[in-house]
Amino acid sequence: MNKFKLDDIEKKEPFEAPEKYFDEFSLRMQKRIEVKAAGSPVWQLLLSPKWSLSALAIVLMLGVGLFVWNNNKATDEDLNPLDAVATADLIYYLEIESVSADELVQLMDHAEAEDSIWNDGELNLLPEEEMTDEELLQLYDQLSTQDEIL
Amino acid sequence: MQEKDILEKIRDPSSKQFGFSLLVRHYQKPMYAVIRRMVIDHDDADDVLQEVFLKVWKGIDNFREDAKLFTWVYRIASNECLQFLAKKKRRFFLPIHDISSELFAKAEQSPGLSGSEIELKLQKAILKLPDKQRLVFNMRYYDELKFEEIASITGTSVGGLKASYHLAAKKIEEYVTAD
Repeated sequence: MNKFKLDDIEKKEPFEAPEKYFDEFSLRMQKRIEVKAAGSPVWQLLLSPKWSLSALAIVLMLGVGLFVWNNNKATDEDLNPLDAVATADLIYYLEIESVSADELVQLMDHAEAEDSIWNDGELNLLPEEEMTDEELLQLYDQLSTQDEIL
Repeated sequence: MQEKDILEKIRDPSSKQFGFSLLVRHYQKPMYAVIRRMVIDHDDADDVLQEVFLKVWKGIDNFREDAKLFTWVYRIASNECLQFLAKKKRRFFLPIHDISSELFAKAEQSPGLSGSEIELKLQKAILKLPDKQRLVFNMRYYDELKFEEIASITGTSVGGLKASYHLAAKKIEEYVTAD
């Protein structure tokens, strides 16, 4: 095998520019320099690809941020969907579904049930030892009336 | 036109743009050749060449004539080529092997490249070199610059450049022989 030597081949420029490229290039450069020398106004700078892409990126990020924030807000509301339903509607629903008070208590979390008994604004129950006999009788009447409704 | 005359025109505010236009006309062909050999694709070479002259325009007032104008412009062109290739690799996460294959594919499609088999093999072998070594090889082989000139362009020692060139030439000869 003959060993190739760089001196064996005629040296010549491997690539050529397209025809008239250099005439056009010097004119293009001249125009670019004239613009540079004249100085570019601020609005031209803002319309340059670098600045407009940055502005677009900021707008997109704000848009995505708002979308995510709104979605999170909606998710929080979704966590307690019963908050949006009136108590009367709930009672009506339970009435037509024939759910008894016992079934309802069984379905409720124990702590939640206790919490709802002691903090329910409508009934405002008091511990038994602080009640008079009369108040206690009234409370039993009230509870038995509610059981009948359910 | 001499470098001195071009610089005189540029230094005079009334003829600065005319002087710069002369500079572009004077150096556009040799700088295009330098850049094209490195980036291969004509459109890429056109972009890089424009960047080179824009940098020359921006920096010409600070050019102190410690070096020749040609050397200074050549240094800007070399840096722009290396930066362009580095960006290209970063953008496409390309290792050196793939970038040389991509460049060779472009070289093969290039209408300007001589179709002779040995020319194609030579270009393929040159493209196998690392970018900086390829740049040095081209400066010496195609532009026939002295090692001292290459040293002032690249900022490396003459001894290091000689070693780099001879190593590159040996690699190319071996590659073409084996191909």
